[in-house]
Amino acid sequence: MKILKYKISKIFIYLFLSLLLIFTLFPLVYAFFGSFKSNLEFLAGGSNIFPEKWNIENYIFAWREANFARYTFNSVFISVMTTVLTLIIAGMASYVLVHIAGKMKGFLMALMGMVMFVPNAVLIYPIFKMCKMLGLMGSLWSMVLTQTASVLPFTVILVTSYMSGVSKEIEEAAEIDGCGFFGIFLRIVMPLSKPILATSALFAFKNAWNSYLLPLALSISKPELRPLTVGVLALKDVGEGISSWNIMIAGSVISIVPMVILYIFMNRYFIEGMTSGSVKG
Amino acid sequence: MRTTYKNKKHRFGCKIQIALMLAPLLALFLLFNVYPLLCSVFYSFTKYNGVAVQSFVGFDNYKRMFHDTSWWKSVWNTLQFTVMGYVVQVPLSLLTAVLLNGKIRGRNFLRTTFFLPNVTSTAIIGIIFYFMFASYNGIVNGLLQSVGLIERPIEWLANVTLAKWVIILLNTWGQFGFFMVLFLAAIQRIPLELYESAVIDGANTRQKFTRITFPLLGSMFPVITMMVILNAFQLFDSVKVITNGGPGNETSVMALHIYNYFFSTSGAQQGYASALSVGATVITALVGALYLGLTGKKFHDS
Repeated sequence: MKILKYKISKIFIYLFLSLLLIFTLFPLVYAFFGSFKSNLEFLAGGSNIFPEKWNIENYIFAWREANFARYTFNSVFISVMTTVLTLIIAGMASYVLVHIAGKMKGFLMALMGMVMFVPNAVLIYPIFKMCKMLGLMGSLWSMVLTQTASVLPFTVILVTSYMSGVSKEIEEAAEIDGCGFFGIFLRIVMPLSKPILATSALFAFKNAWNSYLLPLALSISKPELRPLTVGVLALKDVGEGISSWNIMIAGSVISIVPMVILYIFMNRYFIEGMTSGSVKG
Repeated sequence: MRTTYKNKKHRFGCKIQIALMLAPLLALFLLFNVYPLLCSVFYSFTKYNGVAVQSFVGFDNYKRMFHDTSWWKSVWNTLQFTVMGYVVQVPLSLLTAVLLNGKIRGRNFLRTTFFLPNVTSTAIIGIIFYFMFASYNGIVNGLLQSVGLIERPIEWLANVTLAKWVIILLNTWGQFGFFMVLFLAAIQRIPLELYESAVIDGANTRQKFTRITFPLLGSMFPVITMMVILNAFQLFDSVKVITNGGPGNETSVMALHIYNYFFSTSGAQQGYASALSVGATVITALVGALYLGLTGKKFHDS
C-alpha cells in the first residue's frame, strides 16, 4: 500500500515536471522551427510545429534586405563594449571601495542600492536628453555608456562584497615586495576575483544584449543604430504588418541563439551569480 | 584606508590613484543615474515640451495626475500584475525547487533548463508569445482546435482579461526558474541533521516540508517578494510588445504610460511625464516600504 502510494506520487511529480519542461521549451522550439517555415505557411497557422518544407529564405532575407546584419553587429558591439567597460570600471571602483572607509563610502553604496529601485522608465527621458547634450546621439556609444551605467550599481555591490573577502595577508605581502596600490589591484586582486568577474561579465553582457527600453529610446530617430531587440520589434508596427512575421521570427532566433549557446557553456556562472547577488543583497 | 600605507608621500600618491580609479564610476553614476533623477523632479514643476522650459507651473502637473483616470488605471494594472504575478510565480517556483531538491532523474538538466528563460530577452520572447496567441494563425488556437477543445478561435489579445493573463504567463515563463534557483539555494542551506532527526521522530514528507523547509525558508521570502514588486514596477517590455496597452488603454502599466507621454509623436508632454515619473517612484517606494514595514516586525519576532 505504502509502495503504491509512493509510486503514484512519483508519477504525479514526473508528470508535473514534464509539463513544466514543455512549457519552458515550447516558445523556443516553436520559434526555432517556425523560422524555417515560408511566410505563407507561418501565416496559415494550424497546429504544426515543424515546417512542411524547410527553407532558409527568411534568414537570407532578414540578413540581406531587412538590415539584420547591421542590427546584429550593433548588438555585438554594444554588448561586448558594455561588458568590457563594466569590468574595468566596477573592478577599479570596487577595489577602492573595499579599501576606504567612512561616510562617503556608505553614502555611495546606499545611493547605488536605492537607484536600483527606481523604475527605468522614469530615467529614460533625462538620459535621452543627456546623450543629446554630450553629442552621443548618433553613435552606438550612447547605448554602451547608458547600458554600462545601468548595470554598474548592481555589479559594484556584487564585486565589492566578493573583494572584501580576498585575503589581506596576500595584499600585504605584495606591498612589502614593493607592489603599489594599483599594482596590487592589477596583479593580485583582479586575478583572485575571476569567478565574480566572470559572473559580472555575463550579467552585463546579458543585460546589454536583451535590453529593449533604453535602445528603443536612443535609436528613435536613427534606425541604423538599432540592436536586434529593437530591430525585430520595429517590424511589428510598420505598414506591412503581418507580411513581415517571417522576418521577425528569423530575427528573434538570431537574437536568442547566441545567448542560449553562451548559457549552455557557462550556465554555472549565470546561476551562481544570480543567487549570490540576491542572497547577499 | 588600511594602516599599512604609512609613508606620507606614498599616501598622497595613493589618494590620487584612488580618485582616478573611482572617477569613471562616479562620472557615469552622476551623469546617467543621479542627474536624470534630479532632472525629472525639476521638470515635473514645469510646462516643458522637450525643447525649452516654457513656464513654471508649480504643482499643476501633480494636480493633473490626481485627476488622470487613465494614469490611475495603469497604476491599478501595475498592482494587479504584481499581485497576480506573485500568486502564480512564487508557489510554482517553490514547488519546483522542493521537487528538484529531491531524488529526481535528470534534476540537473531540469534545473538548468528551467533557468534558461532568464537569459533571453523579454521583448523578443514577447513577440513569440504574440505570434503564439494570435487569433487566426496562432499555434495556441491551432492546437486547441485540433484537439477539439474549442470550436472557434479565441481572441486572446482583444479581450482584456485574457490579454492580461497572456502577459502574466509570459512573465511567469521568464521568472519562475530564477525564483526556483533562489529557493533551491535557500533550501540547500538548511542543515540536513534537522531532516534526519525528524525522520527518526517519524515525520513524513509533508510534515518535513511544513515543519522544517517552509519555516526555514523565511529569509528567502522577503528577498523574492521584493524582487517580484520591483520587477512588476519595471514592467514595460512584455506589455509594450504584447498589447501596447490595448485594447484601448485597458492593459497599460505605469512605465508604458510614462514612456508614451515622453516619446509621443503627437505632442509629447515632458513636464507632465516627469510628474508621472516622480509619482511612479513614490508609489514604488511606498509599496516597498509598506511591505518591509508589514513583514519587518514579523521577521524580528521569529
